[in-house]
Amino acid sequence: MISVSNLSHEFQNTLALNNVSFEIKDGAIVGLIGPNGSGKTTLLRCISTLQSIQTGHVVIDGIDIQESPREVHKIIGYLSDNFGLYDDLTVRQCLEYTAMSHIENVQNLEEIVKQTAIDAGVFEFIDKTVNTLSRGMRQRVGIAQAIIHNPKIVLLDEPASGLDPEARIALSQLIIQLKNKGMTLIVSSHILAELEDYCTEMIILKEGNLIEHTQLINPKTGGSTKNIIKLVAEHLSEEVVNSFINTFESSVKILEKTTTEILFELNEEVTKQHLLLSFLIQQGVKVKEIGAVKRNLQDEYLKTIQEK
Amino acid sequence: MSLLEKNPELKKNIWLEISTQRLIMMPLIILMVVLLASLSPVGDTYDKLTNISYFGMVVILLFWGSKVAYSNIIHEYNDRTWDWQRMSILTPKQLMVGKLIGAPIYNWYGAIICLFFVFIFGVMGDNSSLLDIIVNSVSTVLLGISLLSVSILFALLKIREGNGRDKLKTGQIFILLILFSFFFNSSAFSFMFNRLSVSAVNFDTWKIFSENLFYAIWAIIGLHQVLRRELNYKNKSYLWILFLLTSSLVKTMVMMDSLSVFIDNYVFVYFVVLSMQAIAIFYLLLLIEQNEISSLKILLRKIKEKNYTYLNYNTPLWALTFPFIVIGLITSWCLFDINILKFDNLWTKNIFNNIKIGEGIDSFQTLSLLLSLLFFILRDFLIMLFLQTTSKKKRIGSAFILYLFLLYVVFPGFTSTLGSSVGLQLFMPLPIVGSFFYPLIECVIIFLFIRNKFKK
Repeated sequence: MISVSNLSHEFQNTLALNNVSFEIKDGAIVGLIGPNGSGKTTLLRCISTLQSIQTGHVVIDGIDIQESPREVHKIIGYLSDNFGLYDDLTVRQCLEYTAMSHIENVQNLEEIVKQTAIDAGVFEFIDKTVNTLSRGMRQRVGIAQAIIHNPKIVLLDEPASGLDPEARIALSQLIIQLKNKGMTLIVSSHILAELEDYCTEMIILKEGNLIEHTQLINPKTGGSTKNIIKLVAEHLSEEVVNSFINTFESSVKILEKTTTEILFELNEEVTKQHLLLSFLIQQGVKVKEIGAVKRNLQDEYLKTIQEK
Repeated sequence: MSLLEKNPELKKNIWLEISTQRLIMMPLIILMVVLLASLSPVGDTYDKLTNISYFGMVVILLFWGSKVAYSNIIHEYNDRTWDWQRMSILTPKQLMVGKLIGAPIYNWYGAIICLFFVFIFGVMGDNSSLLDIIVNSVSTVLLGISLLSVSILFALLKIREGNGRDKLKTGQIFILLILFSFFFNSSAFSFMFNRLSVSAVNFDTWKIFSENLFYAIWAIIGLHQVLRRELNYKNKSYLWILFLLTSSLVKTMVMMDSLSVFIDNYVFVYFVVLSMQAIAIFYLLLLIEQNEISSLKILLRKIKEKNYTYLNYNTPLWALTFPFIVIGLITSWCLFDINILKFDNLWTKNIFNNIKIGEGIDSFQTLSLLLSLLFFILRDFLIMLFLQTTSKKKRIGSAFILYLFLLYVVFPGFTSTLGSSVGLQLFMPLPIVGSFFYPLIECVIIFLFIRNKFKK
C-alpha cells in the first residue's frame, strides 16, 4: 500500500530524514515512534505530499506521489497535530466544506456529512461551533474531516496529545474501527501505551534514520506476531549456545543471553519450538522453562533506542 | 449550480466573514462618516463627499483588505487548515477566487458601498465626467485586485519558510508589501493621492487605467502560479521571465512620457529599467523567498546532473531574476559607452557628452562601475547565504536588512566624512578604475566563510 524508498529530506541545514525506506501492507496500523525532532512529522508530511520530496521515492497504492500528487490527495486523509479546524464554523459547516473540497462532484452532501459525523462520533454536537468543543471532541472532528472522502490511507500526527484517558480510549476504538473499514493507518505518537492498543506494526525513527520496523503482537487488531521465546535452563554453556545458533542460524536471532537464560526471536512458526527443545535436550541441557514472551511496545521501543 | 456550490472555499470564507451584525455595521459607519463630512462648511459639498467616499474605498479595500488577505493565509497556516486545502481537490482557480474575493469579502462589501457613493456624488457634482468616474473607479478596483493578490502571494511565499510545526507571525512584511506595490505601481499610487488632493500632479486617467490593468492581470497570473505550486501542480519558468520583460516595457513607456524631453532612446531606457527592476526584485526575493542552503545544494546538484525538467519547474525566482540584472546592466553599458545608438535629442547628446567627456569618465571607469555593482550584488547574495548557515533562522530577514543598512548607509557615511575614497570603494560602486576589486575581495572572503561553515 505504501512504499517508501531512500527518502531524504533536509530542512534548515538539518537532515530531517536520512535515506528512509520501508513498506506498509494494506490494512496495517503503523505506530510511528521516535523522540522529538526524529523526523516523524516530516515523514508524514512527505507521504501526504505536503512536503516536497528532495531525494527518494514514495509510491502509494501504485501511484508515485511525485508524478501524480493530486491523485494521491484523493486516497489520503491527513490529520495534523492541532487538528486543523476553523474555530468559528460549526461542525456541520467544517464537514460540509471538507466534503465539497475533497470529493469530486459530491452527491448527497447531507448524507455524507451525517454518516461521517456518526462514524467519528461527532453527530450529537454537529451544530455546535468548534470553539465550544473540548480537545477530545475537536480531535474527533479533525478525524471526521480526514476520513470524509473515504480515503484508503489515514495519517494521524500526534492525535492523542493533550487528550484525557477517556478520550484516548475512545480514540483507540475509533482507530480500530477505521482499520476494520479497510483503511491503512499511520499514527505518530509519544504515548506508547495507547499505540499498543491498536498498532500492528511499529516504525522507530531517530535523528531522521529509520532504526526499526517491526511487526507487533496485537490481539485486538490481529496483527501478525513476532515470536520472542524465552528459554530458562540450569546452565547454558558457551559451546551449547554457539551450537544452537549455528544449527538454527536461519530462523533464530539471539536477543539476550546469560548463563541460564536465552531470549531469542524465532522467525518461523511458534509450533516449531519443539525442534529447538529436542535439540537442546539432545545436547544435555536441563531445560526448566520455554515459552513465548509478550513484549510490549514500550519494551521494544526502549530496547531499540538504547541499542541504536 | 450556484457560484457558492461550485466554490467551497468562497462559501467557507463567507461563512467565516459575514454575519448580520457585520452586514449592518459597515453601511452604517460609512453613512455616518459621509454625513459628518457633509456638515463641514469647507469646499464644494459633492466634491467633498466624492473624495471622502473615495478615501473610504481606498482605506477599506486597499489597506485593510490587503492586511486581511495577507493574514488570512498566515492564520490558515498557523491553524493547519492550509494543510486541508493543499490536500484538497480544489483547483488553483477556485482557491484564488476564494482567497481574493472570499477572505476579504467584508472589505469588498465596504468598497462597493463606497463606490456607490463615489458614483452618486460624482454624478451630482459638476467637476468630473461620468466616464472619468467610471474609469477612475475601475482603476481603483484593479489596484485593489493587484494589492490583494500581491498580499496573498507574499503570504504564500512567507509560509514556505515554515516547517509545518512552528507558527508564523503575521504582518511582519506588510510595510514591505506596500513599498513593493508602490514601486510597481507608482503612478497609480500618485493617482490615488492626487484624487485625495494630497498631490497636485495630474495623471492621465487612461494611462493609469492601462498600467493598473496590466499589473492586475500579472498579479492574478502570479497568484495563480503560486497557488498552483501549493496545490502540487508544476509551474514552468517562462511566465516569470515574461513578466520581467513586459513589466520593464510598461515602465519604460510610462517613464518615457515624462523623460522624452531629456532622452529619446527607448532601447537604452528599457535596459536600464530592466536592470533596475531586476535588482529591486532580486533583493526583495532574497528576503521573502525560501533560499536555504539545502535547496540551493539540490539546485546545484540538478544543474550538475543537467536535469533541465527539474530546473524548469523548481528554479527559485531570484535565480531566474539575476541574469536579467546582468543582461540589463551590460546592454545598457554597451549602449551608453560604446555609443552604438545615436542619441538624436540634442539635450541628451550634450548630457552624455558632458558625462563622458566633460567629466572625464572613460570606458574603463564605467566598466569598473558596472563590475563593482555586479560584485556588490553578488556579495549581498553571499551575505544572505552566510546568514542561512547560522542557527537563528527567524531573524535572517531582519539581520540581512541590518547588514545592508550598515554596508550601504552607515559605513559609507562614516568613510565619506573621513574623506577616504578607498574606504568608500569598499561599500559603494564607484566609477573608479579597479574599484571592482574591493567587492570582489569581499565576495571571496564571505565565500570562504560559507565554505568553512559547510565543512563544519
